[in-house]
Amino acid sequence: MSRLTQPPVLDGDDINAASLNDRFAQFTQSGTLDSFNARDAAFDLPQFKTGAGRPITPEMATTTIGYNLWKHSAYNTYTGQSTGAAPYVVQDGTPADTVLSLGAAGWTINPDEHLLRVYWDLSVRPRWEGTKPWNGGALYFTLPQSGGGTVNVFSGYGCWAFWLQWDITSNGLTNFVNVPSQLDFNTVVTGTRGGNALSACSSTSVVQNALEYGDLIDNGKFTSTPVDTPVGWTSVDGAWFYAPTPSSVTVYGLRVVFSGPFGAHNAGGANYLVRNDSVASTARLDTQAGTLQAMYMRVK
Amino acid sequence: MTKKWTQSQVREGRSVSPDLFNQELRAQQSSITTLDRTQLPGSFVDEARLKDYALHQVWFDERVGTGEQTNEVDTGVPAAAWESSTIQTSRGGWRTLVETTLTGFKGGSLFVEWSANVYVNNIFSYGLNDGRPGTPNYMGMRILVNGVNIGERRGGGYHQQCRIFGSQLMAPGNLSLVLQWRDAEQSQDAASTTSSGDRMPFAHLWNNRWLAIARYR
Repeated sequence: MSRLTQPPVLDGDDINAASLNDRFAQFTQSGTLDSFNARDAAFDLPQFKTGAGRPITPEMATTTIGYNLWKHSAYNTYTGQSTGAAPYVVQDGTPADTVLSLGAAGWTINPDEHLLRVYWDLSVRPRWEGTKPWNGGALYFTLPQSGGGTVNVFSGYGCWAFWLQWDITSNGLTNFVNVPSQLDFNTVVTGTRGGNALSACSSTSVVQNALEYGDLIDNGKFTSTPVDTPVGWTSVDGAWFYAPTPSSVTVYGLRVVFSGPFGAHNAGGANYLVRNDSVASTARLDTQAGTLQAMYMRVK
Repeated sequence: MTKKWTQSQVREGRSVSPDLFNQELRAQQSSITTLDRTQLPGSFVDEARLKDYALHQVWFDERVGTGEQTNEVDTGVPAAAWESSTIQTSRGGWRTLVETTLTGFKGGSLFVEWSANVYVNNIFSYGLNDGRPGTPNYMGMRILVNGVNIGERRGGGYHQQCRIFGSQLMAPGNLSLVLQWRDAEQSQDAASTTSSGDRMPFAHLWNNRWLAIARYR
């Protein structure tokens, strides 16, 4: 502690060595740095240690993922997957899997001390082959038409899903598994269709894979054929963080994987994101580039 | 560690008075009683020297409950939909997803980040009678700290991932953090049920998580 606790010098007080030394002894800094002995704005970048022992955010890493050609003149194209399939990995133009390596020693994330934060983005273009193929899946609502009859309209749930995998075995980066509380959408939910409860989608981000809406709907009734517009090139991104408990975890690498097409389902009071196997062969996803960034920070 | 004399330098033979010492000590209270950047060497601040919560503090929830909003859960929706907000259950206005206290905030900059996947039903956004120029529905999201809005976004209009963040200088003391969502109100042209009578879902949020970082002065 370094605050002055001596009373001020008053008229009549002795000015001697002991008196002065008492005061100046209080100037000595000891113990840990905290907000009591470090003044407002006391630290600037030069004061912060870099490398091992770095405070607040010990490590950060970033990499480009995907097909890094920003003109979008070339890209990777993937076909929809059915239940049981292993997800696609975001790939470069080779195409080879693109991953974020966290170094030979990896990052050791400790309970009640660290928080792993991961952010990513990717340029994508969902599309379909054929005419309204989603009507062959469970991806639409049946709605009344003005003058009688019904019409099927894309429900808006249809999507491609992206999620995170990590390697916590070694920096060989050959043992990627889903991050905690994230499953692979291959557990059968309804009929033969696999999916995840939404509670098992901890790192999942989605991008809608069709746009269809009514043109001048009159009091809930369609007056004309639903309008379809291409989704076009768009982006999908994710923000995920993780605090291990009760044990530490060492993370050597991260990657983004994806699959689709998915839609909605509910049963037994739970909501699910489920595959649409019957129309998977007509779904397409074009992918371009993005970034994958990770950091781990102290929480206190 | 260098200490700076800012009032005067004591010299041999100089007369002294009590107030001279008081002035000297008082003048140094800012630079000696607490350390500033001119007194600290480079690369001095590291994990070992920092006491917990000395410079920053983090609060977070990796997943809010099951990750889904539970403000409005209509079970009467079709099987190929989510039990979520419908016209029948919608209360309108801002609904509170998270209400918590950031305990131990010591004053400084606060950063709050909230991410989620949102589902917004846009089938009926272009109606004959709604009087709006085909404006898509969307999911509003906002962050309140001590009742003050520090971040708000028009939000997603499709089934997509959204992230919103805000930052604000705040005075010391526990802070109230509230995260709220508000979907666009449906017009009279929106169908409330499918042709088979199931209720029409209009809005949902899932995979909700939030993070707050305090950087103390």
